[in-house]
Amino acid sequence: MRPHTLAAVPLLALAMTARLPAQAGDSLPAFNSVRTPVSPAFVLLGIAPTAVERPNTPADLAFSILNRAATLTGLPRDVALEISPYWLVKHPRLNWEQDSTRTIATSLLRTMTISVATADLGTDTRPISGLAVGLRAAVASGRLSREAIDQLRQLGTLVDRENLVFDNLIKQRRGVLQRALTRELKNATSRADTGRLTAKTDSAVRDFVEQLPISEEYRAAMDSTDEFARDLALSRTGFVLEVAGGLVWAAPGDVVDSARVSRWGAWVTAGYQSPAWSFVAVNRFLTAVSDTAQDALDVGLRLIHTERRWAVSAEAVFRAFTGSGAPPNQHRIAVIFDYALNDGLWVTATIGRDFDPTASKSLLAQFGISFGLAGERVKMP
Amino acid sequence: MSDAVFITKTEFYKVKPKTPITLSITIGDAQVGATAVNLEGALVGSGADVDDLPIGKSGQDLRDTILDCTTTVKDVNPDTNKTDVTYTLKGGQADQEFSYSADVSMEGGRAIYAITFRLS
Repeated sequence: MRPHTLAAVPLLALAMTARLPAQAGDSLPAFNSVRTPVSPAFVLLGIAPTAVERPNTPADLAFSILNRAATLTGLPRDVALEISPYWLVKHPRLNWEQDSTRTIATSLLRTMTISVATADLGTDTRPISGLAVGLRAAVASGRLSREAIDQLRQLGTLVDRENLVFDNLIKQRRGVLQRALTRELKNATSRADTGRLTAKTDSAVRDFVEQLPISEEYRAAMDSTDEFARDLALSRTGFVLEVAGGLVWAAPGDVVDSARVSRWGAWVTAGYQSPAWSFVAVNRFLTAVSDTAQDALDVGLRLIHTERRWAVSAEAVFRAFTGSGAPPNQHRIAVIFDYALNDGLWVTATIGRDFDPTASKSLLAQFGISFGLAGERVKMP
Repeated sequence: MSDAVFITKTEFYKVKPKTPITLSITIGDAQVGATAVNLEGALVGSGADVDDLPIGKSGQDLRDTILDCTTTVKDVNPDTNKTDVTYTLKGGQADQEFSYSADVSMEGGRAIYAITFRLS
């Protein structure tokens, strides 16, 4: 087992459970549900969409909007859209080494995501359309870990190896086609002729490579690269600061004039990660405009120590209800121990107390086995 | 041939008589890639970092020669499926950049660029 695999366990848990809706129950992932969510709009709306549109280009984004607008007779239902504005356009000068460290400005730009979601919040007899918009960004992203940098360099070596094999496969035919082009260009009488002939050659080269049978050597080289890439854990070390916020508008009866802000929330997550130690501090505030009884401010802290085959973490979350007539403040404490049996298989033990000590199952004493999927790439944020 | 995306292009670059040139390659969008560089079919350089690679020897006349570049880009950036490769040729009649881009078809996919520079 590579040391990095276990080091990724606590972060993997963070990354995965951060997608859960905040009010999904306060059983085990309480700390993670307080952490800055990937898509604040989904959390505020209380949805966990199975399919999220993530347009990759401005054209994709325009298509997504037009696609919804085509049948627009009211607020489109069940929209779940997440946009990373920076990554909508290409960045030909940004190599991975330059992205290993980020300034505040580049961190904000490269990590900013905008989430938009709609859902029906009412009933059959009293329909209420909900629209949520959220923004998330990392003010500080830390830096790519030394281990991740070494891995990316190793991956570059593997890609180089397979690329050389591929280059050898196409070299001869490519040479023949280019020599034929040389002969044809001697008879070209205009720039248009030259353009047509080179386009014909480019097309012939493409046809050749697309139909080229994969040799055993090339297949082995690609498999080797893919296997290594699946285990990549692009963790970042150092100081990380994430912020997020969002609003929900509710429109009873789909009437625009009746639309009001019904809920909003804000998150701050700060963390520091070194090879052996890391801590994460979280702060969340959620409020509902009409019913303030469940308005809550959560403050949490998690400390994680990671060794080659095991990791231990301690977490505490304090919850203060801020509205009138609210229940008393609560807190939650847990200690989690993970041990790696082998690649991708962990034994996990959790001991502690949940928020409401009078509720059933408030004593946390859970043991379990978790499976890690190869290829999960963990990034922080 | 696998599920890679292929980009093939022939370009022209004017060199100075009996003067070598240099080639630099940038793999953009924070992706990982490597290039094989062939002059008249002979490998003159390869790797993930091609920076000011000398093409031709001192006094060598590069006119009417062919410089083939094969670049494989592997998608490792979870934020985008875009790949970008920029080839920069210097030392000829003018420095020139040639940029290409392609979206891989799936997360972790490949884009293979077969770019030929006809030196004249």
